Amino acid sequence: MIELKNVHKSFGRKQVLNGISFTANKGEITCLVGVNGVGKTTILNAIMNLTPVKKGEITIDGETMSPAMYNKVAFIPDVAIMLPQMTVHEAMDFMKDYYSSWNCKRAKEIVRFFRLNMTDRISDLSKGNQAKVNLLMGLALDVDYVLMDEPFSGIDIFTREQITDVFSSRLVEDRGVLITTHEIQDIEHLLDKVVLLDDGVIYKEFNAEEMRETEGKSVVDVMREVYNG
Amino acid sequence: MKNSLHTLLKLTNFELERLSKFLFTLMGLTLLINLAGYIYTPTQYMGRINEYLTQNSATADEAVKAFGHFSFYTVTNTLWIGGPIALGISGLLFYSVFIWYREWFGKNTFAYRLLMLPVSRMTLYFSKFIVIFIGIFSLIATQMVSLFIGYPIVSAIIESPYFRELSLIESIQMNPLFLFFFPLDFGYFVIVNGVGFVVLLVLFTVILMERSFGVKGIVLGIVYSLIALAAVLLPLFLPDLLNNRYLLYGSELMIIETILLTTVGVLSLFMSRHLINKKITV
Repeated sequence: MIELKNVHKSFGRKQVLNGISFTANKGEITCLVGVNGVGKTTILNAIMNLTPVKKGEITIDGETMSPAMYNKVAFIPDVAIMLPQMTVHEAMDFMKDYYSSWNCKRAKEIVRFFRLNMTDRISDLSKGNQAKVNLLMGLALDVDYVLMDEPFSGIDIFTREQITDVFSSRLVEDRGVLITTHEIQDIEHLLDKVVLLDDGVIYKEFNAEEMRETEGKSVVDVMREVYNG
Repeated sequence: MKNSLHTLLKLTNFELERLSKFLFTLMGLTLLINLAGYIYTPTQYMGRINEYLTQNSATADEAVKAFGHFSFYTVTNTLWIGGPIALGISGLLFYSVFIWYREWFGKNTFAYRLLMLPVSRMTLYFSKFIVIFIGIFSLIATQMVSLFIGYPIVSAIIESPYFRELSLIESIQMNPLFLFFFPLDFGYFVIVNGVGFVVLLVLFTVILMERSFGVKGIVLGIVYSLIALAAVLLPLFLPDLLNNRYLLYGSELMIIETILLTTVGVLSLFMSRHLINKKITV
């Protein structure tokens, strides 16, 4: 379980996170939603120790983040993070060199799934294919948790469909997934838990399916209520 | 321990591959410019001598009186040699900064991947540190090789009456720039490299401060580096400041400087460790 307890973070005078506490469980897909600048990416960066928090505690299965934990939690940011001059194959070799959790068999499976060409240079790939390479680097790790930041940002509808398929495939099966996205309608039916952020605090935390069944509201409906008043 | 060392070697090799193009360019330029100097300077000298001899129907002795002898030191004391050394220093200084910033500001944000590697972040730090020193030693070695190549070229161009035989070692000893980079005394070699070590440690600390605290980090970094510089330089200027030339013996000064440099180095290392582990941000 990924657990955040009373996490505070500010950039200069701007308080971005103001006492955030929530959990993301293994085997569930948890989605962080909110308008731009609400702190979704900051939360993911903070979990991965890529940005320090001012106050609060973040644990993964009871442990604080350490280098060894990067074999247990994968983060897929919304920017390309492998060297542009690397080919897909070289990027995979790089991961294999450093991560004991790298699963070669699964990596090849993902390459086939996304129809990527191993000899292509990352810099020559389209934005959609670069997003797929990012997913490949994260999903081919045998980790317990996967964090994804805006996986649908700026990509075409067909790539979006392919990425959506990932969520219902066995590639994320049994793992805990924590995702941030604006394209909530694409994956709404797959979500277990939604954490709605507003003004640096958690405005609402709910089960997407229960919300649909009991109140007849979609996640987007709830967001409209919050952000449109 | 064995695993960490293995990872450090892998990362260092990875960083070295990334440096190689830049380093080979610097090494190539050094050799090329030096070579041009080994040919151009003595040729120009011989041209002047020959012109003098023809115009004045002078003897070799008279020409030597007019222009002086030509030794290998004459070439090594020119910009043909000093220039590439300055180029190498500024190139590696630039690379010492670039080695960090390219991870954030390159086409892709590779800092994410590097900081998420399941290895101690200090391994990452040391791999970058080691690579800069490999660069420094490679350039020094290139310069040395170049001197060995240059000596026979120069002696072949200059006719014997005009050539003053100075061994390579003598030529190095006469040049303060060479004495700094290729110290013939082991103690001096340790000091020069120790200073280089500490300068790089301070520079890396300043960069990590900026990467951790932004503009505030730049101010902090400048203040820190000024304090470090003042601390290291103070004992050197203290006798002059206090108007007492005999305040410290040479050996005492050496001990004080060693302690100060070690303190600044260790402090920088600890600060860098704290920053890269706890404060750095993508």
